[in-house]
Amino acid sequence: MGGSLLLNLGITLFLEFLILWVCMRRQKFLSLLLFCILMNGFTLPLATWAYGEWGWNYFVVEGAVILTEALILAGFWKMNLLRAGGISLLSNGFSALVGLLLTPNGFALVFHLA
Amino acid sequence: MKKFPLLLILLGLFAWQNLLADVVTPGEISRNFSIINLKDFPDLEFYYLNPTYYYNQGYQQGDPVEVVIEAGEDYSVGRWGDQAVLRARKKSDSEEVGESKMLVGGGENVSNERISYILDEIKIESVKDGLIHFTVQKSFQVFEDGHQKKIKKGSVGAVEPLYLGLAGAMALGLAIFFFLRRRKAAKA
Repeated sequence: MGGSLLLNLGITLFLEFLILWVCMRRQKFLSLLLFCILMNGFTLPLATWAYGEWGWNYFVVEGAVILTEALILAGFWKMNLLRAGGISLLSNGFSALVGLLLTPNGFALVFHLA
Repeated sequence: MKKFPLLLILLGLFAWQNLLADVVTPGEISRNFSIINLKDFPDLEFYYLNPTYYYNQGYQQGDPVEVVIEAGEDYSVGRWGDQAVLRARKKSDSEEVGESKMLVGGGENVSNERISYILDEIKIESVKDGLIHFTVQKSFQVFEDGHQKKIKKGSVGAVEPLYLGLAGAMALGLAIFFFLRRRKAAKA
């Protein structure tokens, strides 16, 4: 359980950092990397717990993560909330899409097609 | 046309409310069982009477059907919540040798929609004086993708401290990082 959590964290970090880096090129690379690790280290365990242990709907969990990360981004970097929301939507949407592609029957499970 | 964003937000809130309704509605799942030590009773055949139903202006109870228990198989009892007595007879002449006081089967309400059913692994302890005594050795949540998760007695789950600990540590780190950056910016 702990191993899969760390693997998921690693993949999510890599993908979301790519988007953050592209969208926030003016920030220092190491600051952005540390921020990305801390933010995803906070949201991913809670999201995994809510989805896997409590059985929350996938889209509710993703929505909550996007909203939380948008608020963190806006507060931390003193950014317009709309822009922070856009970046959060883009980075989480990208990592969620890749995650579903990597999971066997990922789309079927989420959309209840299985 | 000016009110279009407002309509969009209302539509979004309506969709969100529907998703949340799915989250808090518990689902009814059955409690299945399997017997893990049938080989300890080679002369006996274990079975139960499975309730059946037919439709005639509503569901009516039909004649129960006998189900013989095989090693390595899971069994459910009737409809959601139904339970049955476990019975045993001799393989040689079908003479009844006993039945259990405890019941197998039943139903559960769970909030996790991906759990298909609960599986109780039953161990037959003894069959004597017309009584079958069994204990539930382990219980599992069986998920729709086939994987099983053991239900720990008296604990919510050992993974919680890991998840909460990691999230808490990272939130603390984020707060420290935020204040350090702010202090550095104030000095500059």
